[in-house]
Amino acid sequence: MRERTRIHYPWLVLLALGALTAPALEAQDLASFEKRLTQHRLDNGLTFLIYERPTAPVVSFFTHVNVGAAQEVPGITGLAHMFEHMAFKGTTTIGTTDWEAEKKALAKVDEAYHALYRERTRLGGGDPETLARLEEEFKKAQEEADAFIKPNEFGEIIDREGGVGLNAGTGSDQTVYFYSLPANKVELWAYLESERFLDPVLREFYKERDVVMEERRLRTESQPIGRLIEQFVATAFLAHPYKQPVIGYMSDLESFSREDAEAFYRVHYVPANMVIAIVGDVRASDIIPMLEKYFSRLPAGPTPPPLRTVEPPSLAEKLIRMPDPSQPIYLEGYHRPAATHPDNAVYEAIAEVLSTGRTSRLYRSLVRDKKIAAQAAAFNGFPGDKYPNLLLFFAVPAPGHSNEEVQAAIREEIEKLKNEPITDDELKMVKTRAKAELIRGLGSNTGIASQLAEYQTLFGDWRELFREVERIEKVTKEDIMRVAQATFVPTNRTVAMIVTKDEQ
Amino acid sequence: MYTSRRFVAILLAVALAAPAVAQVKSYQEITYPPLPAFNIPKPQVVTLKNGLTVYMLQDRELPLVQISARIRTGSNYEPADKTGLARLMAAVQRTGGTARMSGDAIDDFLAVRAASIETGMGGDSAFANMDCLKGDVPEVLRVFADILRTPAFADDKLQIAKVQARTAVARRNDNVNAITGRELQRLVYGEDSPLARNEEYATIAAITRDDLLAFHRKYYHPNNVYLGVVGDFEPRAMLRLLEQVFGDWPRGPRFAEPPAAYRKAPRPGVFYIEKTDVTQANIAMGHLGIEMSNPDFFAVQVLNEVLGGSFASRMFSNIRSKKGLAYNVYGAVGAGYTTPGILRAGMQTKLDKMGEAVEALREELKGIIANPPTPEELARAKESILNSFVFNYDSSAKILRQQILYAYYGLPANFLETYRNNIEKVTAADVARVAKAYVRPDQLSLLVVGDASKFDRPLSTFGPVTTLDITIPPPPDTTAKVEKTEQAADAGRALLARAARALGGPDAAKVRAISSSATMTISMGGQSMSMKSSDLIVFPNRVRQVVSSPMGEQVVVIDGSEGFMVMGGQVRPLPASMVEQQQSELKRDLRVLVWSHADPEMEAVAGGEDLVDGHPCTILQVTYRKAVSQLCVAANGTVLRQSYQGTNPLTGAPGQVELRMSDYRELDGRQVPFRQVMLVDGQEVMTSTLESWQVNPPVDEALFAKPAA
Repeated sequence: MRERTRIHYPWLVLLALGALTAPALEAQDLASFEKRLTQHRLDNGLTFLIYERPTAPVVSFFTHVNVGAAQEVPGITGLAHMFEHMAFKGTTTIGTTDWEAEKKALAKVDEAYHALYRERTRLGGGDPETLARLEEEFKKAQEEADAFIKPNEFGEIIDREGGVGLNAGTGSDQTVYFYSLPANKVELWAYLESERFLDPVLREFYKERDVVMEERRLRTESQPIGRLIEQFVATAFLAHPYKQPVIGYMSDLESFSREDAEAFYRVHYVPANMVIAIVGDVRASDIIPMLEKYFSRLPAGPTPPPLRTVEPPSLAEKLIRMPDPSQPIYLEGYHRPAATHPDNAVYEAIAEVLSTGRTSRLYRSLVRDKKIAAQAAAFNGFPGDKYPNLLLFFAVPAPGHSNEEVQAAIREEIEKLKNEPITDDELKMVKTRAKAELIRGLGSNTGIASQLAEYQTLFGDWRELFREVERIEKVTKEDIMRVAQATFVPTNRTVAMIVTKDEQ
Repeated sequence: MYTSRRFVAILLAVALAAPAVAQVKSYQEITYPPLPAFNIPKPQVVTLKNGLTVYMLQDRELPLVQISARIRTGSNYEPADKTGLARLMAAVQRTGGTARMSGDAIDDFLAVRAASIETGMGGDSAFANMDCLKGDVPEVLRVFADILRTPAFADDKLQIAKVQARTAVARRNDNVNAITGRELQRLVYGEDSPLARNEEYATIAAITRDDLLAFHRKYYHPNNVYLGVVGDFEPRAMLRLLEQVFGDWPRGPRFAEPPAAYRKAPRPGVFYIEKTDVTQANIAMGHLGIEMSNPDFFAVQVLNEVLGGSFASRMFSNIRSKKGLAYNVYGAVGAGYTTPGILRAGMQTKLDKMGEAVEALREELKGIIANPPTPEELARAKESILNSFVFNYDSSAKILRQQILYAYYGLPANFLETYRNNIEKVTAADVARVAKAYVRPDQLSLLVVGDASKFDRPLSTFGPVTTLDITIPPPPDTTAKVEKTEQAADAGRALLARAARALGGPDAAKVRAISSSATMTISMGGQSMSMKSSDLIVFPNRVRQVVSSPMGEQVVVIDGSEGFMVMGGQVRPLPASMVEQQQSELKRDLRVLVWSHADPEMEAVAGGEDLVDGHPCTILQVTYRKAVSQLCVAANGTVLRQSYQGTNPLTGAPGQVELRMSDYRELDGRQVPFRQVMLVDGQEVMTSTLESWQVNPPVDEALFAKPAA
């Protein structure tokens, strides 16, 4: 029920926050929505969005930190996600029986780890006897520090007080933390969430790093699609950190230290880099003093510098054929601009026409008529939205059908989109759906909270959630052909497929 | 530095703090106001004259209406040899149209309204849901009712659903978590139980449109349906609409299926499935759990919370946090509505920690019996359940869904309210007692999926190991059954001799080799590609094939048990498995069959009459050195069709291969087919047109010699 799952592939983030990439209501709806929304910025730069929705005595909290795997460099890949795990480990007052003693023990763990790491990475690979001794010392130091731990106290408090949906997720663009509580316990959340980012103690770091390695083995290494996607993004991007896996490379997971994670936290977890949405049975005027009280404790800090690397134009078509003992899978990605680009709505419309539902072109061609695929889809924002990213085609060939067949059928649909205007019905469908999906996205506290925080971070204004629908309303058939012609060219493309043994 | 800067910040914060809220030093100092009073909305329940039960709950927050039907049926009630029937019925119920509208027209109709209707099947219930903007309710509801009442099950949509079902079968061993979950279920319930049996190529192939119609007719009656309506509507107007579309739906027989059968006896032991493309061992152990109606259900919920249900649970703390062994670790006694759930515990860990992980899991299961929850654990677990209780009522749709669920399974309507009291009443002694009763370490089936060569210790440490074979059974042989009698064998030999004369000519016995060339056209998803192929076959077991395509030239040589391939100047030996496969294809090759028709190892049995493209022919089943195929031979000895279990040459996937030979022309007194079409599983994959055919050409031995790399 309260299983803690984490988000690694940003397309999962997108699926989870489905309505977010979809559109909005009409102007008067924005106006009525706005009446129940309070935006409040603390002096330290932290932004709160409070939406009063008294349908049931519960409240959902969603903290969106504007840092993801895209802020990592080689050597520390996986660190944004690693910190997210550590943000459940408690503080100097939560999760410990004796902080002063534990602090000393943790310093010894750091020391022992570095001694071991130095020996392990020494030229020639380190002396086996020394390594064994250092391993033993590292293990002992950890055991000593563990003696002061109250295991999982942070999660236990929330659990015990009736919290549900406690979880977090890391993507290429963002790290998010969320749960819901009965409406009378807002102060508990304010206390815990502010403590968590004011005063985190990264205890059990190296055990948790083992857990993350298991997570990598589980999601990336032991799944054919996981293996393929890692190869695919690394090839599609020449320079931009979107090429790096959110979970991190095994070598980096085996190397980075507790101090690395703490340094990463200090740079990125500054209040001005965070947005928190609160949605449910609360009154903004009642809780703002509480928010001031607890969250003003977070010290202001400089907003992290912008990412320097911009993906250079793609000059070559790229192809990956990954032999695998499983079944064929086909991916085809095209570079596209960031979600903040004026053509974003056109890209959304393209994906919608190609891929949403049984009337979509990919379904009708590949699944219904040619019967060569069990599933075929296209979506934007892979692996993130904030920077130029990919429009991704994904197909699962039916038994007896090959990647080449689905490729040919996808290309056929792409050519049609470039050369013929879409129909009136299709255009109408895209626009109606955009409005309806926005409405549907407003049906739950958690859905509203996640979208508000996401849009506020990405665009600097949560109202863009509604304006996106207005932009889709303005998309024309010509826009679609123009964008399709500019995007769907061979040099802008990366293809990846699983080839089965017989085809190798 | 870090510490001192923060210290200053705290001082500042304290100095600037608003007076309204007192600063707390610990969460325990926080006092909570009472939870706001909350009237749980009660759905209105109306039963139509025909027995259809309607639950309605108004919620005007958004201009939407959702209607959901729960139908008394399920995949538990389908015949075993048609496993998948219920699921396919539900899928095609939606896609296959209705008496009034085609499936495609429904798709378009819903898409322009941004509405949806979806149907689905569970083990002991089916569902149909609609979701639309409130203004569209009357027209969407009409389609929804038709889908429930008069689905057309168009055959082309059944074919699409079957493609998807076959895809799922083909891919079911690609995901190691899916393998583990599925196979543990089979160990616990027994693989023949409806709760655990698999859809297979054969069971899917056996399902017909008539089966879907019959299944629907049997269960979809208004008196077997619960309908829930939630959203922005006027109850009286809604009832009128419902009367209009459902009022004349005639009552049918009451649902009267017994609960699904399953194996009651435990199957303790150690089971292993080999999966070498993974870096983790996937571990699961289990035995039967309990039913919801069990009075111990509430104590078991508390037990689960302590064992593996939360961050503070024993398994999460000990196995994940303290030992760092797994990302995902779980353990709970499952409860089912009509049949027992499963006690299931498991995790995934790196291969060289397998033994340690199995031990850790077993320790926790034994531990919950030996060391029942402490008062602190008990209090935490109960508070967690009770404090989060309000979330059971946090949306109208959820409230409605629960009410229907309880009615459907015969639980009291106030189940949830009593749930609260029942949890409060659970004592430490209760939990200790249910741990002993429902966690039975000696009855566990332990399943490990992974690569045993990399385990930290042999799996047999935990007991004698049974290796499970999860190879996917190949698609069924759809060729006609041929009965082997002496008479049929005589007729078969005669028929084969006639075929040999037709293709081999009067001096068929003197044929030593045949060379031929052809243009092959491959069809791939509506597109086609042509290539040239030339073959040289030297009886009995040598063949050389050269294929020229836009991608270049490829030469494949098979010589007895050896084989190699030349492509782009690169010489590569062929793996033994591939040579073997090529040899078995060769043993079925028409030319080889004809050449060896008098071989004592050749078995030919004649069957009944058939038609191929309107031409009469006689079925002839031939078995040559274990390679089986079925021919259909015309009166003049020409072979019109050959079918067998083989592989798709484009994908390597197994399938039912059918070759259709036509355009027979006479060459030197021999009947040679100039056109051959290849179908796999009924889909055309390749067409060849013959360009040349030479009997006993000069054979240059160098052609079979492997060139230096």
